[in-house]
Amino acid sequence: LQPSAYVAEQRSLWTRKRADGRYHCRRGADGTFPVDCLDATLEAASGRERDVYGTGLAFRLHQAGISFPPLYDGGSARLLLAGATMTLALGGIAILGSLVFGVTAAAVLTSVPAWLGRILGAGNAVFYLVPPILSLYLVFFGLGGWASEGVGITLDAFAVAAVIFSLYAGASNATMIAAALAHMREMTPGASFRVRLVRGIERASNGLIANSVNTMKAVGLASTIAVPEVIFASGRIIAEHGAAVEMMNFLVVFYLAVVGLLVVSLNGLQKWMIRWTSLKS
Amino acid sequence: MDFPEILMTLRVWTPELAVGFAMNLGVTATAMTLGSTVGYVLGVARWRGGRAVRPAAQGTTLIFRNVPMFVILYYMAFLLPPELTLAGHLVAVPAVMKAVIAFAVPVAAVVSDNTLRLLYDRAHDVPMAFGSFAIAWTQYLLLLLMGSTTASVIGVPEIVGRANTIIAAVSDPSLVVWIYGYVALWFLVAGASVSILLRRARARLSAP
Repeated sequence: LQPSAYVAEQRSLWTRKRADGRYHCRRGADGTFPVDCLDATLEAASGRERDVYGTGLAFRLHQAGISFPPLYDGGSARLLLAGATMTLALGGIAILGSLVFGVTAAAVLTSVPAWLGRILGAGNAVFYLVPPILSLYLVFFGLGGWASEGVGITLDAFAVAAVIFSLYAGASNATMIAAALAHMREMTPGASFRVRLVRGIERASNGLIANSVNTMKAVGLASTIAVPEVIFASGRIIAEHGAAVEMMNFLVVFYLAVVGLLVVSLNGLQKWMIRWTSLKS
Repeated sequence: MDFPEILMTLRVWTPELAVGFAMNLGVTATAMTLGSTVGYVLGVARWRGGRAVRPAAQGTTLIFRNVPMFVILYYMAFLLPPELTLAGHLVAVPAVMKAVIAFAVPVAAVVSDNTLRLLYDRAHDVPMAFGSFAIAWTQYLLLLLMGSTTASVIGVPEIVGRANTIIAAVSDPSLVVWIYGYVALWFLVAGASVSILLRRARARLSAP
């Protein structure tokens, strides 16, 4: 088991002592615990709503029937922020990894003899024909179990997810870039490999953009191997506070914004690349 | 456990996995049918709709396209109740129905985009317009078949969900890789078959 930040935090909280040597988290004269010792669910159950929601936006929203825990619970806010950051980091790494793998694999596939290219192509297809959730389970629980038992190594869930998504999208990128490279070889027989590669990437760019967007959308699957990304964080907040509608709507808005921004950025990058290559030629 | 024993275990559990895979196929086919119907309506509305209808269909397609299927799956699981009262009758909403609705959403977006392209191509006499539509649709069918494995996280007993149950039942850690690997093989065979069909269809379309 990986160390749990939550357990460590709770241990530190519940063993903290005051100046007089008594535990900070103990029942007071009225039979209740100090507010900072309770999680949000217990706080709400205690009936001290103003203690829970404060007097600002969270309280007004709560009175209107909307309870968005990150607005009134520091722990939930930190959890969600960390989850969102991890989603962006995992998505970014996987997109970058898939492009690097795609270009490298395409270069190899198109530069080896045809018979070897077919064998390597079939190997490449394995990465995108196996559902990513199954690949995550296979590597993290299957190979991870062997690694843990055999050599005492515990695989890191984030690293496993980054590699799986890079290979899954990268294999598909490789197929598209390889097809574009083969086309460029026919169209520009005298051109150097570098020129063909740049032109090939440009030609495959619409597919590469679509794949990158799909990769960002797919990284949420990492929650199934307990990577604390935004879906995992939302699930934990729902388990603690029960604000399912609010958290699910947050996820929809979060992904709409992230995917929208990614599409705009990648389209901008594509236009810049086309301008750059036309200037160079 | 030696190799013949591993093979024997996989053979014993094959019917169980086959039922799960049939469920993947069923969920995929139903979601494709439902999503394609909605997507076609959206696509036609984007092509022919009036001032109010066109942006509404465009916006719906955008939302359906940009929200991940996995998030929609959780959305359905959390927000659709396990039972609904319809005309005084209690109707169960099983997890598999939630999965079908969730998977139909991205299908609708893909079909909406491709219907719009199909209608444009037809209006401009682009040859083989329907062939391109059919290829894009089949490609998405393959993607959805693989995506249908995520239904296991909301309790649908499809092939990956059944593999997890089998792993728990045999409780032998050394079998985890073999069982997941065996399930992966099912998808490799299905995926390779569809890919070969697609390659042949593309070759036929590009033939003079």
